[in-house]
Amino acid sequence: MSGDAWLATIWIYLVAFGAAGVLWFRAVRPILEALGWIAPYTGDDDYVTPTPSTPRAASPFDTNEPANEPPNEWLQPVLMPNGDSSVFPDSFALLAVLVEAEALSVTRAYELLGVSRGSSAAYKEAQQRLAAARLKVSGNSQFLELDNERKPTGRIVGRKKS
Amino acid sequence: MATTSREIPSTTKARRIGVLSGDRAEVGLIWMLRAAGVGLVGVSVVGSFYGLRGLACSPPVTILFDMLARPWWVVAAFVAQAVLSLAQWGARHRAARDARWWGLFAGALLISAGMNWVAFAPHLLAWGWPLIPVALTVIGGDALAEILVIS
Repeated sequence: MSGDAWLATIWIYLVAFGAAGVLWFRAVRPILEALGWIAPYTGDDDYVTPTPSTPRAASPFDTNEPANEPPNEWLQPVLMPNGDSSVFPDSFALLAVLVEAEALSVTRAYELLGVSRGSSAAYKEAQQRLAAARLKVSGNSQFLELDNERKPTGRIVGRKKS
Repeated sequence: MATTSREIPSTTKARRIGVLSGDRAEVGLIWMLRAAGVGLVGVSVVGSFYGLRGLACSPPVTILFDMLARPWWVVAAFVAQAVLSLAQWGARHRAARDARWWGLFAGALLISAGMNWVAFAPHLLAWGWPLIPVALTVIGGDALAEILVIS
């Protein structure tokens, strides 16, 4: 192959790959489907989260959640207040954790500095920053709840349905 | 800091890290095929750039300098490919209701493939490829680009 023919070579490879792909979807796959050897193409993953048959070992991070949690709980979509989990992607859950952590760090810093709650301007400023951090999760700020009456745990919980 | 989530309904679909299902592999294949289609369109534009001037395509560096030196020919190649691709796409869809549109499709395909023929066929023929495989590769590749990108 000469240097002049490099683009023709690329053309040939692209044509061969594309033709093979079209052949697979238009000819081979329908035949295999008709024979029952492969399932019809859906374009989606029908995998359903399984429930482990045996409870997992206790962890110091356990809370009052059910023992039989699905695997990879960090990667599960979190249930939204309206009951729809699909609109809350994994990355959004991670963002919520980061925002919550940042807000907690601000509040905790003021606590460590001995700033009293409720009346001081410094604590009110901390609360304002917390509110601003919640707003970073635009449109879903109500999802985050920080229980200031107890020691902050960093838990993310759903708002209770009224 | 412990973080928990609400209980997930049993019908929730979830992705498993490190597990690639057959369907997902096919979705990946479809995207690769679309990328190949876009690649064919790009190569076809370069082919048109040379084909419009009756030249065979050159080595990579030469193509770059050629295109920089003749920007209006590049524009012409883009416009030609855009018009011809749209004509192929539209005619193929309309041909489902009226077979006469296949005429426009064939015309647009042949004009586009003709420019690519001038650019690529001399190299394939120089390798000793027979005429029919060369014609199938050049004309088929031109038609395939539209099929891969659109379908």
